[in-house]
Amino acid sequence: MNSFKFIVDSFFISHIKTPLAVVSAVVVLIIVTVSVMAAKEIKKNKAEKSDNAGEENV
Amino acid sequence: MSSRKPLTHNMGAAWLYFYVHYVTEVICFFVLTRLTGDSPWLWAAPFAYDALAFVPQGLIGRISDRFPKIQMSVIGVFLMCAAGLDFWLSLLPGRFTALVILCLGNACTHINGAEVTLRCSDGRLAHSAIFVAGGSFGVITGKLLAKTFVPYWAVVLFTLTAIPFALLAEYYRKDADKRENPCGNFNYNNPGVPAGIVVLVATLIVIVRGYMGYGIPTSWNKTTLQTVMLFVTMGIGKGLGGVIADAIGVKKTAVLSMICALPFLFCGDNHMFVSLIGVMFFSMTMSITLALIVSVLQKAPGLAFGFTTIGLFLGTVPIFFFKFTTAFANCVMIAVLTALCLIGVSVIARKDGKADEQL
Repeated sequence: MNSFKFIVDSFFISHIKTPLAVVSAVVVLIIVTVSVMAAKEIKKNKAEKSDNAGEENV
Repeated sequence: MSSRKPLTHNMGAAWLYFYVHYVTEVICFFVLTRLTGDSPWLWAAPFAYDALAFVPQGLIGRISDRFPKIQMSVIGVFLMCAAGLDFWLSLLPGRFTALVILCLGNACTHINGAEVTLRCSDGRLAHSAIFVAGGSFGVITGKLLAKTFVPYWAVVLFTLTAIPFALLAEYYRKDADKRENPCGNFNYNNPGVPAGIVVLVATLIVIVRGYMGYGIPTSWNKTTLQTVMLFVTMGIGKGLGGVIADAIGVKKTAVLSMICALPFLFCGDNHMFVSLIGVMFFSMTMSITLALIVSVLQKAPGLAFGFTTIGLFLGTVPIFFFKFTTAFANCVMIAVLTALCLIGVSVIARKDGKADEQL
């Protein structure tokens, strides 16, 4: 018994390919940008924490 | 925990945003349901909506973190009203334009809701959980309204009622922002795990849970009343998740809700009440993953919220392309993915009751 079904049909492929490509490109671009922002934020937090730890030791 | 505050601490902002979130989903699902009645939009509208409403929230969240004076909610409400009017009057070229405006409005109100409730919560989960819960009630209201004679302009007028609620909530935010780091009490992550890994694993859990949500066997769901019961239970589950996590701990709530959900979901395919108990447990983890990400991005709660919405989108993407067609295959998939989520939570969440310890 086949318990797995592909929904994408020929109608979709022929009519909605371009908008899907545009939306996918935007999505990938935003995910990459957000990830870079988060990485920078984490790096900044880490630097702040080590600075605070340094001040406490002094 | 040394300094527990009552659960009602600053809960006003959470209830205000419960309503704003409710209104947001009402207009969005009202429009979406009417659009999907149009056959070429059956597939494209929900996909574009998920992509353009969920994914940009990280970017908008970062802007909101950096520029807190921007009233994102008010902007969002006006954008959604503009989109609603365009669906009614067809002022702009193509329906896709209005859909994009609607999605951006949705993203703006969500981000502001997350910012306000997280900042006002003093490290508690109940606030953001109550805010998130409002959406489930809005989704079903919007879907039901779309099938009636209610015109677009009436829904637009109803959406405008969210503005005073959003403005009132800003007072709570200003009060919370007087503290140096309003989200500083979010310390639910395992300090032994690098922050980047916490964000990655928590997002993966959201993706997996998002995908699982569509595989839950609900053959019993055939009438409108049963659909209403399903969405109401989801809303209650989301809210309860935050309240229970505050009471017994984040890790315990995550593990218990995931394990307890399984038997009820598996046995509830044809039994509504059994299934609803499972759905309620299943919905409880929503606010927990958010709290874990905020714990490592304390100064950027908007950006942190964006990761959960990106996860939700990525979790729903496979649904548009393929699905399991038997209840057995769904159950196997749910069991395997739950086990993976349990391992993930065990690794990245701090042991309950150790939030104040210096490690």
